[in-house]
Parts: sequence; structure tokens; C-alpha cells
Amino acid sequence: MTEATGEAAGETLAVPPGKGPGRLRTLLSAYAPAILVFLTVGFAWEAAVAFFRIPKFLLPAPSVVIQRIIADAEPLAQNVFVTMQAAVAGLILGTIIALAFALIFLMSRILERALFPWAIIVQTVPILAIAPLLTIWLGFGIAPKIAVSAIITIFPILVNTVRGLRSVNRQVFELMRVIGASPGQTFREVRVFAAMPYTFAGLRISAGGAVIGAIVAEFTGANLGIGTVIVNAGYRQDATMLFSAIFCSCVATIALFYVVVALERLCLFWPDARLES
Amino acid sequence: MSAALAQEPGGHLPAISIAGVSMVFDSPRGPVTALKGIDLAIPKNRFVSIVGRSGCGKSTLLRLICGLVRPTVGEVTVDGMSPDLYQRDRRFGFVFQEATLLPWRTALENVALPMKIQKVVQPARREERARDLLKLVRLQGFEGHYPSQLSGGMRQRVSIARALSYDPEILLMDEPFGALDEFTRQEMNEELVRLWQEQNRTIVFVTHNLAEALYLSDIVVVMAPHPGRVRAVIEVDLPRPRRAAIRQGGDFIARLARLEEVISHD
Repeated sequence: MTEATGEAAGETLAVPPGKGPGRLRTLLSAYAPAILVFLTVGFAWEAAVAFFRIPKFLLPAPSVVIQRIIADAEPLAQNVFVTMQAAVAGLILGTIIALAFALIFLMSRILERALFPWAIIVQTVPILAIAPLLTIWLGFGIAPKIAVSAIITIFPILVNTVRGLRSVNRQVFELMRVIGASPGQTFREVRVFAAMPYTFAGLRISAGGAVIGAIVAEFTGANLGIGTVIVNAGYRQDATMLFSAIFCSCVATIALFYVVVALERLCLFWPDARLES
Repeated sequence: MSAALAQEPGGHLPAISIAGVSMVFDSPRGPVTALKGIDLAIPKNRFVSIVGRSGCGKSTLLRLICGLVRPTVGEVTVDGMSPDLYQRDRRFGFVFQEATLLPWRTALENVALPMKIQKVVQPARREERARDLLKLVRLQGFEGHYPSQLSGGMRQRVSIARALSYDPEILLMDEPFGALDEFTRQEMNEELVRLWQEQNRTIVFVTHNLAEALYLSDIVVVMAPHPGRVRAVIEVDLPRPRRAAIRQGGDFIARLARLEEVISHD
């Protein structure tokens, strides 16, 4: 038995990609290809615009876009902030609704059969078409944006969480019965943890959707937000501003995505928790 | 005879008695008889193995004993009461084929889980006891490891420690070493005998490995499939303590051959 301990210690899973000089190299080799492609595309774009003398109102060069972002940094940041407020609120609201329905589905197959078609309907309704409706109902403030974001957010989280809650194998339930666990204890000790990786897989998808939802809602009537910036720039045929706005909202969306990833790292603390993605 | 057997008090009241038990499952292709006319008395503090081919209802029998499933006909009594009552008052220890550890709990937390669920031991004492149990199954130093960081044999040892954490008088084991390689399996056999001899318990051990059954048991119950029934109950009077070397002895091999004959005889 003692040698088994030694053998298993060797077997114990690989040390996480450690600190020290090896780490920088790992990071570099992980991101270098992406950065290289990114820079190449940027330079090719810049060169093509200069070489073919493409007018600015058709396709501005990256350098022009960057200059514009710097010049209009303050209004852009303000508008992105307004949009992101709605997106984050929508994501949180949508997550709460999705989790509530996942619980309902878990408790009753009949209710699941009755309500699941509605989840699909909500998912398939063209969001561009209900955004103006929601604006009519909820006004020009933040409310319709939150609603649209939430609607987009719900489905991926709901579907994934339901799957996660049901991903527990039969033997675990037998174990919980044998050690005398109540259904509530089984839920707290087993189901919650089993569902979490799935819920986060859904959240990762929904994070991007939430921002898109807020922007779309801003198209149909809002006073502030990156969506209004895009609409106005469109009227003025200001391609440079359009690119600037798109760039800024992309950066904000990526930031939100990484907030979700960070939260996931925090919640999924055990080694084999994260689903392969 | 070993100390454990000598201490057996007269042996009149069986730990587990199974009387006229049949079990019929509904399946898409109609009812399936999993067990038919099982009569079996398992004496206290004995090590009893149940062997047989796949589909002979070994695992079902184990689940009947602890009340996870109910017999269609017949009666199971454990220490004179129904499995449900016994489960509520004293609880069975159960070791599954897979270690069935919670991946989000460390080895220590997994061992402490039943105590946490049953609220029997004070929270401060739980950790101490879990630590002792991990030492008992020779896993000191691995308290903070998560299941995925342990080898298959170590995981199964954690699950045995967990089953022992609430000190059950009856330990049910469902092919616990079936997924392990032969070397680890033999090590685990030694370990189990040691644990059993340290403290008196009734162990019902399901396996399809005949050598394992013979080496571990006082009694081997041979089952036959389709429908699942008891074919023979064989006393194994090999002296205890048994050493691993007896597996190579002529007597052991002869017994193994006879056991194989009983199983394959149709």
C-alpha cells in the first residue's frame, strides 16, 4: 500500500502551468498566432486603404479609426457605459429568470412540457421586431433595453442549467439515499454543483447576447447608448464613427465575457469542473 | 478460526434474512424476473460474498437488503426489522462499483459527507474523524486532494472510508474493486480484510471475481441467472488470518476449480 501512495503521487495530475520563466513562453505561444494575424490584417487594411485611395466615408483606415476613438473618447465611453449598464442588468435578470424556470422544470416534467415551447418561442421571435414593442410599452429609458437583453439571455442559460441539474448519475442519488440525505440536502450538496458548469457554459454564450440585445433596443428608440451612436453615425454616413462604435462595443463585450469567465473560475473551484469548450 | 469468527455470539439471529423473495421489473419488452425464490440467511459478523454471472441479480439483491428497491414478493428483514426501519435507525454502509465521490469535495470532505448529512457528529469532531478514517485506509497526506487528483484505487479507498464514517454494523459492497487493475484489486483485498478484522461487521460483498470471493469470505453465495436465483451456499473454512500467498496454494486452487464448476454448471 505504501508504494501505491508513491505511485499515485506521481500520477497526481500535472502541476498547473506554473510560474517562472516557462509561463511567459506558454502565454506567448498561446496568444502569438492570434496577435500575429490581428496585426497582419490591420497593416494590410491600412496599406490597402492608402494604396487604392479608398475614400474615408467608405472604409476608413485603422489609424483614422484609432484617432477618432481617441478624439471622441469621452462620449464613446459614456455611451458604452450606458449600454453596458443595461446589458449587465439584463444578463442578471435573464439569469435569475432562467434559473427559476430551470428549477420549475426540474420539479415537474409536466410543467416543463407545458412551458418549454414558450422558451423556444421567446428564443425564435425576431428580436429586432419586439424591440420597438418593448419601447412602446416600457418607454425610452433603460427598461426596454434590460428587457431585450434578458430575453436574449434566458434560453442558453435555461437549457444548459436544466441539462446540468439532470446530469447527476443514478449511483450518486443512491448514495445520498443510503447516507440518509433529504431531497433538499441532495439538491444543495449535489445538484447545485453538478449544474454550475453547465450554467456557466450558458452564461458565456449569453454574455455576448446581452450586449447585442441592449444595442438593438437602442436602435428603436433611446436617448443614450452605443446603439444610438451607431444609428446617428449611420444617418450621417460617418463610417469612421461606425467603426469606432463597433470597436468600442466589441471591447466592452469582451470585457463582460471575461468578467463571466472570472466569476466562473471563482465558482468552479474543483479541478475537473469546467466543461470542455 | 479467526478472532472475528470466534467472537460471533452463538449465531442464532441472522444479521440479514431473505425469505421467499422474488423481484419482477417492468421493461419495454414486458416483465423481467430479476430474482426468483431467494431464501438466504446472512449471519452476523461474517464476510459473505455473492458471486455469479452478469444479470443474475447480485446487485439487485444488495439493493433489496438496504431498501433501495422493494421485493415484488417475499420479505427482507435486517436485525429483525424492515430494511427501511433499519436504514432510518442505524443505516447501512454501502460501497458502490464506482467510488461515487463528489468531484467538488476533497477526499476529507467526501469522507465527512455522511456525518454532515446526518448531523450525528459535532462539526468540529467531523474533520478529526474523517482524518482518522483516511489514515485507516492509508491515505494520510491526501486529505486536500480532489477525487480527480486520485488514482482509481485511492478513490475507492476514500469511498470505503466514507462508508465507515458512521460506523455501520452492516457493510454492503457492490463489486467495489471491479474497475481496478489486478494488482490494485489484490491490495484492496488485503486492506479490506484488515479493516474487517479490526472491527466486527457483517459484510455482504458482490463480485464476479471468484478468487477474490474465496479469499475474502466465510461464505460464498453462488447465484445463477435468468431468473436470478441462489444455486449454492458454500462455506469457506480456510483458516484466518489468511495470507496473500494462500492464493497460490493447491487447496485454494482446488476450491477455486470447484467453485467455477458450480457456477458454470447449467
